[in-house]
Amino acid sequence: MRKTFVICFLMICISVSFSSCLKAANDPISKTEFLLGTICSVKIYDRSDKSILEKVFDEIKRIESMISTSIKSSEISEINRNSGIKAVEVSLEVLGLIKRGLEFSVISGGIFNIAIGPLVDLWGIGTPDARVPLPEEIEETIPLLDYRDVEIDEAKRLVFLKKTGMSLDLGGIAKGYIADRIEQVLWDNGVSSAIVNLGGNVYAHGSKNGNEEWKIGIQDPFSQRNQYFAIYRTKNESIVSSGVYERFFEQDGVVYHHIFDSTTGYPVVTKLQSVTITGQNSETADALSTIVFSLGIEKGSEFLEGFPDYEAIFVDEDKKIYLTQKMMDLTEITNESYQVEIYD
Amino acid sequence: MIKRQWMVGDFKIKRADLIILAILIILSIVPLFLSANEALANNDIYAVIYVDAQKYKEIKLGEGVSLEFVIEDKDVRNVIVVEGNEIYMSSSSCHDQICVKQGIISKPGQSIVCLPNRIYIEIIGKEVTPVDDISR
Repeated sequence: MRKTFVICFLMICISVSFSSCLKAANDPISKTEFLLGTICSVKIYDRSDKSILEKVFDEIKRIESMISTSIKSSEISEINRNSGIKAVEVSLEVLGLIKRGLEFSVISGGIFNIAIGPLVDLWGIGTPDARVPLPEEIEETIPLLDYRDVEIDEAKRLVFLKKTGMSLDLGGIAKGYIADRIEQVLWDNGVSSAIVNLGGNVYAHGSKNGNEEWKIGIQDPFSQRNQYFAIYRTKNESIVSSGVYERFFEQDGVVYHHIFDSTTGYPVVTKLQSVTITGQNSETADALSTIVFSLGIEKGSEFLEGFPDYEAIFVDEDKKIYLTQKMMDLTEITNESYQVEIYD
Repeated sequence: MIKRQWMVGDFKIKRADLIILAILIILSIVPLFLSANEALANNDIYAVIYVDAQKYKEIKLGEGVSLEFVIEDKDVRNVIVVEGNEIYMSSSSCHDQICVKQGIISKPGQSIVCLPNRIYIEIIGKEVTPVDDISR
């Protein structure tokens, strides 16, 4: 009889593993919440333990509570409140983020600007108070946007904004950084198949159904939200887009988007409609998407040469798509009204 | 009657064991087909509406469905219309009107978001979507 029990047990094991396979292939467990001033969703395909989703969202909330400018008790808010007054002690984690934000500011010559806060507040794009500021308001604000006036004392973990009214805004790397942290939480919990979407910043974690590629749609800048013009196939990679369509407002027939030029105080003027950056590290992809979008196709693609592990898909106002052959091989253009140009 | 038995390593396996084995194999495979059939037969699609990340309503979409409802709370006033397989935000008290401008959605995987009023509508169903997510 013992054998019978052994066999029974084995069969039950096999049966359970079959049914869990089936579950994994069909329905992910998922969670969606309004966080980081946007909508965040996480889908896990190879685990059914919902506590992992909770851990992921706890991680988002933990980081948001440290770096959000709309949360008064955050470390960043504390730094900003003390601009021109005194240095503020920060956590190692926030210090690291600020340091890397400054590095991106330096290598891009201020195109990516961690000290853009006062300009973001002045325009208020994405809030009910969005408006085109008066020229004199912009003039007053520009001197407060110099990232070189951000002082860091690494040993003492101090951050000081030299001029009163300055403020840090980590919006250009925050979602990327958080996506990278979530990556870690997912691996730590044995997840190797998941999609993380933080307001359009996608991390395609691991692979789909064992070893398949994920298919990620790329937002069509000329269409409504969630219409894509191309499908990009990838495994374990971050896909971040920047464009004129995501946050903007219209006044007197002019559209003002949310990516600013801190030398003029106005939104960046470019022929580009959107840029999508792909690569392992989401924080880097996030920063690069802003920089490359602002630089335009020629200078942007040149800049990207310094980041050999990152690739781009550009879309300009004439519905032209620019990408490398390597990217083209992974991308299917689904909207036929676009023209494709391949560059080296 | 001769008892048939086979030796597998140290195990003696009797015919009764084999019968039990066969039954168990069949039993273990049956649920597979059942759920596969269920998935095939069940082409239902649903619209799920979340308010501030809490599930607010789940509506089965399809022929003959026609309803309109209002989500109201303080400054929030959103009107959602469902017609057959289609769902859209017909009006919203939000400042950017992105949700209203987005228009109609009708396929699994599509969604409408009203960020200012924290309302999220998603269509779910068994239909295979061409993409797993969208980078914006």
